[in-house]
Amino acid sequence: MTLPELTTPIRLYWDLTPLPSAPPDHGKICAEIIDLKILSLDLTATGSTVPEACFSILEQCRTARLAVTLTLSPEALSEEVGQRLAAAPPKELLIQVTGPDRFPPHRSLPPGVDGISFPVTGDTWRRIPDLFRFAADSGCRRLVLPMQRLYAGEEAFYLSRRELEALTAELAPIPRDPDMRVTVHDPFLWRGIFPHTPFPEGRCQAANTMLAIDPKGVVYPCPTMPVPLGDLASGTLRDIARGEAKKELRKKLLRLPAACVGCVDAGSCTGGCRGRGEQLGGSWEGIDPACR
Amino acid sequence: MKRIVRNPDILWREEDDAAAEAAALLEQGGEAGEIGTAILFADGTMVTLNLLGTEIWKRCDGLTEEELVTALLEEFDVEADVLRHDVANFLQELAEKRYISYV
Repeated sequence: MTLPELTTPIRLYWDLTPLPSAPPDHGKICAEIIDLKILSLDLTATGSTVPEACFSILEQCRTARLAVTLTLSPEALSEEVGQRLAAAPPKELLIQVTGPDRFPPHRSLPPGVDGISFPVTGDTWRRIPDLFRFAADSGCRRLVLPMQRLYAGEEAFYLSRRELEALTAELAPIPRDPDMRVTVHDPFLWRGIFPHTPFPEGRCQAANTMLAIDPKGVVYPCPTMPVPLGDLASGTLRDIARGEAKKELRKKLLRLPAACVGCVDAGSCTGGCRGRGEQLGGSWEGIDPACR
Repeated sequence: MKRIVRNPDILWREEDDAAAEAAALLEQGGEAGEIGTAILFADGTMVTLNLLGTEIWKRCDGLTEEELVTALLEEFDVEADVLRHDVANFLQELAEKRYISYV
């Protein structure tokens, strides 16, 4: 069967940090997430400490049919945090590192940590092979290259074809555990890392299978698409998920960008990262510059 | 006979609106085979199941294949041999994808 357009998403990306001075009602948001039967919650709190809200959300989700992936900074992983996480453990615990100098010492993951989240930027992409070497050495079987937080003002990043080819060549000799799970959201970066495997997500899933919530409670189609769909301070997640703003945006995303019409690759990339294309090109009709 | 169990790493949910639509179509004697009534999601890949697939999937929680067919026959007006064949094919597909296993 074909991949459907969903009434409510199945994945939610929720950034808790930086905590605003007047944070949203985390308990209410979490209850709505459970009520909407979201399947997968990516909770990120990468400050130097773990906010209390994080523990209360995990506790709230403990008996729900919801797979929570929690990403923390290595600095936040104290013994006390480990004990508190053991009481309401996420399905998956990742630490966010930004370069080999910040990889865990002794080439091994801290106890209880399932894998590494590695934000790829113009400063860090050359270290992707180091990440895979670390995984090979340490037996780490879970790597996530998270979506850029363009809604938080990050500068959109992409690799040129030449850079992707260089990355592919450098990665090729590095052994990979066949059971290692790697999440890459950027379809072009995926090609650089898995040149022989089709991108599993197909077309852009913003505002369809996924939504994102920023630390203030503003809802976006995707962390890489800085188009606010609503605010949980004044509305509900259900209303936003089923609202006209989301539907209208999704209609735009389902249309191939005008610049891609006739392209032989359009069937597989379906316009690439639409958030990046819009951010850098200023239009939904432009090409994702990573395609060039 | 071995029992069928779902892979706990597969995230899934029923789509209530779609299930109601499919049920209404069937009620009117229509065809609902193309309506996705459940979503399975794992590693970025999403699979949709139609009504029969959903009912099979929901019962992959410790039944044997024969018990599963018997349970479905109580709910669906369909020939046993046809259903048995469809169930076997579908389970084989799920097993190949590692969505279920036999214990």
